[in-house]
Amino acid sequence: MFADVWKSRELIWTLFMRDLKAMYRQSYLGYIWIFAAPLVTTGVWLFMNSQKIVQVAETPVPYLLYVMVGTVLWTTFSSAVSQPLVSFNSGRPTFMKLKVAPEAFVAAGLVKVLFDLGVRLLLVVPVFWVAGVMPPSTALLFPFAVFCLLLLALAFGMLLVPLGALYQDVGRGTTMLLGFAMYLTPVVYPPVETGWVAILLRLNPVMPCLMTARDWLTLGPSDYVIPMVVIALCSLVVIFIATIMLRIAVPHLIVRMGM
Amino acid sequence: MKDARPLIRCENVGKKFCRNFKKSLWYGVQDIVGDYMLRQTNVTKLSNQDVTQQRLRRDEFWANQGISFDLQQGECLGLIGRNGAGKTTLLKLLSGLIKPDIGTITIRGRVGALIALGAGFNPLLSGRENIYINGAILGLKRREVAQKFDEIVAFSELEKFIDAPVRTYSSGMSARLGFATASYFDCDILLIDEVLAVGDFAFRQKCFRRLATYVAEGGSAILVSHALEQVMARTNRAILLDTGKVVFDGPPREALHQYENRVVDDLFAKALENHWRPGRSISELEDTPVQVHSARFYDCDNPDSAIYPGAKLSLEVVFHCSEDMEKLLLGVAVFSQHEVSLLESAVECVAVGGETYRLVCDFNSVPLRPSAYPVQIRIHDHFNCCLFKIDRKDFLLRVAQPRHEGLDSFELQSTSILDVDFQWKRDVMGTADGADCFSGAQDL
Repeated sequence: MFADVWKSRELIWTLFMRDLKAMYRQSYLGYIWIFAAPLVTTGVWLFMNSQKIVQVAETPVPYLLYVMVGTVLWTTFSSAVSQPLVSFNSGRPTFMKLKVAPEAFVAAGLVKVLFDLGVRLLLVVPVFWVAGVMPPSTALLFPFAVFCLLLLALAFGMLLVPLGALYQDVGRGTTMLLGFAMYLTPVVYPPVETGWVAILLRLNPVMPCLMTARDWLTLGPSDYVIPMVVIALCSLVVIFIATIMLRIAVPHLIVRMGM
Repeated sequence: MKDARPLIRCENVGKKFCRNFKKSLWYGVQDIVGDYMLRQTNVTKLSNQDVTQQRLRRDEFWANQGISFDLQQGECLGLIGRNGAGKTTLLKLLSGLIKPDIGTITIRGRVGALIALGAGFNPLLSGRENIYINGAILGLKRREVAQKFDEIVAFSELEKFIDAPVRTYSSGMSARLGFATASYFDCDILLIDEVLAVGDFAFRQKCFRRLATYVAEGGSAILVSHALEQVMARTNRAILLDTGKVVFDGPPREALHQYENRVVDDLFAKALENHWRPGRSISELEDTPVQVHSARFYDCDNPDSAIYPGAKLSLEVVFHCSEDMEKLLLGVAVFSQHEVSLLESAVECVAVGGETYRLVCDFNSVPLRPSAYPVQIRIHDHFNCCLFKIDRKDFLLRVAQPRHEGLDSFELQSTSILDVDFQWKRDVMGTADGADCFSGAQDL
C-alpha cells in the first residue's frame, strides 16, 4: 500500500505542480493568498483583544506571536482534515475513467498543505522579530510536532473520504464543525484550567499537538509531549485502517458516482 | 512468444445498477460496509461468488448479466449494442475500475484504457504541461514522456499551439492531444470507448492506422463504437450486447447483421410495415383539402406476398380531395437507416373536389437488400405548400429475406444496401508468348 504511494511519487508531484501552477496562473496576487487566512484571523483577534471586546488571559509569549503561530498551525490542521476529501472529489473524473491510485490525489493534496505551511511559516519569522522573541533551541523539534499534528488531521480526513464521496453532507458538515472546533482548541487563547471548557479541552486531541508545536517553537519545553506522541501513534493506526477501507470502497464509489 | 492462455477471461459476470440515485447511494454504503465485514482485503481480485449478491434490491437492474467470453492475444474485439446495452459498464469492469457483483474476470497483462481522453488536463495550463500531467496519470514516467514528447506533438499535429493553454483549444484539438499521449502507453490489452470518433477525417484515419499497427504487432484491443463500419473494418470478432447480455459473439459481419435486425424489429414495433393507414401518423396536417386514406407497397406480380429483393414493386396511394386542385404534386422517397435517400419519385396530377383517387407508381425492379427502409410521402399544392405528409418514422418498406437455398454465406452477411443480380465471368487473357489469346469466357 505504501509502496504504491511511493511508486506514484512522480504522479503525486505532477498533480501537486499542476494544481499549484493552475491556481496562480489566473491571479495577480498569486501566492499572497496563502498568507491571507492566518493574517486575517490574527488581525481580528489582535483587534478584539486590544479593544477589550474579548478578554483573553495572559499568554506566556506576546499575544501577537501566540495568535500568529496558533492560527498558522490551526489553518494547517483544518486544511489537512478537509484536503483528502477535496482532493478525492477533484480527482474523481479521472479515476472514474482510468485506473489511477486515488491515494495519489490525496497525497498531492497533502503536499499542497505542507507547501502552504512552509509559506506561512515565512510569515512567522518577522513576527518573532516584531515581538522581540528569540526562538528557543526546542524550535528545532517543531517539525516533529507539526508532523504529529498532520498525522492526526490525516486520520480524520481519511476517515471522512468514503462516506464523503457519496454524500456531500459530510464535506459541508466538516467545514462547519472545523470552524467551531477552532474555538474548542487553544488557538487564540491559552488553555483554561477550570470549568467545563477545561474538560472539553482535555478531551480534544488537537490540543496536545498544537500546544507542543507552539511551545517548542516559541517557548521551550512543553507539558504536552507525551499525549501528543500517544495521539500520533493512534493516528498512524487509524490512517492505516482508513487507507485500507478507502481501497475497498473505491470500486463501490465509482459505481455510485455514475458512469 | 505466444501464450495459449487468454488475456481476458470473463465468467458469468454480472453487475447491478440502481435507477434511483438516493437509493443507489445508500446501497453503496451497504455494499461498502458489507465488504468491510467480509474482510475482502484482496480487492484486486475481480471476483465475487457471494450468492446473496444475486438478489436485486428495489429499483435495481442488471446492467451486465451472465457475460462470459475470452480474449486471445492479437484479437481485436468489437463491442456493439444500443445505448444502455451495457458496453461501457463492461469496459469499466474489464479495466478494473468497478467490481462485478457476481462472476469472475481474470486478466493477464497490462490494460490500457482509451476511455477518457486527456484525463487530468487542466485547461489553464499549456499543452506542453498537460502532456506531462496526462502521461503521469496514465502511469508513464516523466523521462519516458520526455523521450516521446516530440513524437507525441508530431502525432497530434499541434506544434504551433503546444505552448498555448488547453482552454484555447477546440474540443477536437484537445482530444487529439489526449489521444496522442495515451497512444504512447505500452499495454497488452487496449480498451477503446468511442474515442476514435474524435478529430477530423484525416486524424481518424491516422488513429486507425495506429490501432492496426498495434494489433499487427500482437496487441489485443476491445473497441466500443456506434460507428458500425469502423467495427466491421477493424475488428476480427464482435460481441453484440442487448440489455446487459451477450446475444451474439462471432464474426463482425454477422454481429452487425443481428444488430441491425434488432434495430429494425424495434422500428417495426413503432411503425407500420408496407401498409400505411391513418391514425398512427402524427404528421397529418389538419384542415387541408387532401386526406390520404392509405398508402401501401406491394409486389405487382404477387400482391399478397412479402416483398423480396428485386421485386417489381408498386406503391399505391389512395386519397380524397375536398376541393378542386389544378395541380397536385405527390412525392415519395425511400431512405436507408442512415438517412440517405435511396430512391425518389414524384408525379403531378389534377384533382376534382369531392373525388377519391388512387395513384399507383410501379418500380420496375427494386434491388434492395433485406431490411427495413423508412418511407416518406408528401403531397404539395402548386404553391409548393405541403398538404399532407407521412413521416419516415411511421412508414417502413420491409424487404424480406428470400427463403430459397443456395445463397452463399457471404451474400447473407453482406451489409451492402443494393442487392443487384450480377454474374462474374473470367477471361483468360493469354500468356506472354502471345499464343492462345482470348480463349473466351469461362464459367467460374
